[in-house]
Amino acid sequence: MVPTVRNRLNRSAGLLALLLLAARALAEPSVTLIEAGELAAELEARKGRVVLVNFWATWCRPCLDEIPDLMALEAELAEQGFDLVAVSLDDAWELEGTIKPFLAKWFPAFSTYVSAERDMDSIVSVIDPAWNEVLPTSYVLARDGTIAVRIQGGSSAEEFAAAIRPVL
Amino acid sequence: MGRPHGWLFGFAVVALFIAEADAGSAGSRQVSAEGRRAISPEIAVGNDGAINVIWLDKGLTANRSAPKKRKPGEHSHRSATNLYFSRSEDRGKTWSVPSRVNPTDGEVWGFAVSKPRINVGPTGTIHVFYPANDKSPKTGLDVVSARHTRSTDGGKSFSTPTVLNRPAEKDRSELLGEGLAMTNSFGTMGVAPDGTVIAAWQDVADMADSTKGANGAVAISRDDGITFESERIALPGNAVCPCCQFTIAFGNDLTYMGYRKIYADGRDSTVARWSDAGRKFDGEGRLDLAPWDINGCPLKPTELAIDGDNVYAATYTAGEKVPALYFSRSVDGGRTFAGKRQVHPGAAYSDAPELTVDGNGAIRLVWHAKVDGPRGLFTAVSVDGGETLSSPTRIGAPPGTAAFPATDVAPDGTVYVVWQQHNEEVFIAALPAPSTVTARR
Repeated sequence: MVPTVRNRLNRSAGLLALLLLAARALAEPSVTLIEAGELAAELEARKGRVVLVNFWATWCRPCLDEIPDLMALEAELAEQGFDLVAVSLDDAWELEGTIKPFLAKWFPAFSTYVSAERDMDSIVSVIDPAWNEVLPTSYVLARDGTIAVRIQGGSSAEEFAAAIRPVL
Repeated sequence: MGRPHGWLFGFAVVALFIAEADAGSAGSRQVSAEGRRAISPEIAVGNDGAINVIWLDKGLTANRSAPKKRKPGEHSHRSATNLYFSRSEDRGKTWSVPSRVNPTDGEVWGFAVSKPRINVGPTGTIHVFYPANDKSPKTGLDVVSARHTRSTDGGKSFSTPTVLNRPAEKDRSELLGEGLAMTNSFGTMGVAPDGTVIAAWQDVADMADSTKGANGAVAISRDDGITFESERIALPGNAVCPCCQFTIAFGNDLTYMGYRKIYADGRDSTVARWSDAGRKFDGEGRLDLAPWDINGCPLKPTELAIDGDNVYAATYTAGEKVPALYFSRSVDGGRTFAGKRQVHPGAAYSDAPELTVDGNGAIRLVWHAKVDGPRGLFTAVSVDGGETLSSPTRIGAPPGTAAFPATDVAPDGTVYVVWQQHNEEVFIAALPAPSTVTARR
């Protein structure tokens, strides 16, 4: 077979896919339980940076659609002082049985906290005491820690970027 | 539950004073077993005054640090819980030992917002409706089924559950998320005064994508729940807001169902009605609220109570300028609604409404709200046919979060409220009937 650009690209793509699969198989998702007070301290420590706090759950389909976009934004904007803090509101009882296997299968490179509170509202109230129990909910926190924007419902990368850039 | 008991009272009683300084909750007590994690309670009071409560049991609280392992291939949506039942025949003083309703361990699929339901028929039959983990007999794939079971001995035993939905023939796992090929959930059930049992749920078989709507399905029993007619699509057009729970109520020989509908100008709370025991569509009315669109699962019910031509509705909406719980009223049998008002001005957040109407026409609204702290329970009453609502009064509960109430009204007008205490225990309190009621309007 005569090597062509297309063949070389196909081989490269295939190799890349294999590498990605291998990396995915080896990757361990970064999952940490967090209590309300710990989240408050975490956000306090990140003052000076723009933070998007994303509350999600494995059972919330629109939440899952957002995750790749949020990860891409984190990679793109980190050097400009942007952090993504994801918090799963799944039941912490399901950490080993459900959440970790779910992340390992679908989002192995996603770093997230999992709320250790018994009540979803307790941990979201650290940021928004008037949270209306709707998922997905994200908050863009300005560098001084105040809420710049609240975003509810499944949103696109463009919508997130439009909310982040004015305070970045 | 919103179901007035079967007796009729004349338009009557005068006065308008109502004492609500104490919502009567000093006697709140735990119904679920100590040491076990219990959520999502529901309640039904029979014509004999017996109080029946069900809830989801998540296992021993001591096991919190040792979550169960997922079986290979089991989907993440699986919520393997059990359904428990307890009953009081002495106005809540004593309770039967909680017993499991579902025959197979862990078969119940449920969350605080996709709840099991319980009703008591006119002859005392206890009906329970719940979402269950199942396999489709057609595809062999994991599905969530709508199941019904009944008890004719006061809850001492329950019949073998019946699956009410049609067998799933499609694999909608791409739409629903990992592993679940079909769901028949976010449902409700009601028993009409003549004993007709109507269960309703969301059927996603023909849902276009996760941002579009579902159909509303019903199954009807005319023999006290022994058999059900085949599933019927009562709300076609895939216009039912996904995840928004149905509610059901009866009045004027009509069946009413509350839900959020997807209109061209946005999503809005809507009350549909049927005659002929749920078979003949009779039209629907839209609440007088601003539409609220969200690509997500708002999980907000449109709670109903019926009293003659008066149809009362309460729901949370973020469409209004102030996102909050709103109360509206129809005086023409649900064709039009007007008079929307915020139920709890000043609360940081208010939601999860429950409505009842007693035999005298007194309306009782119970909800959870945040006022200077975690969520607590509040109540208000209308004694003038929904023209006015009393100021919110806090229902006494143990310290911590009290949320997701469920209510039903006893023959003597007492409203019983059960709720989730700190997301771990089920509590109950009794709220006395208003002492006086003005003429209905």
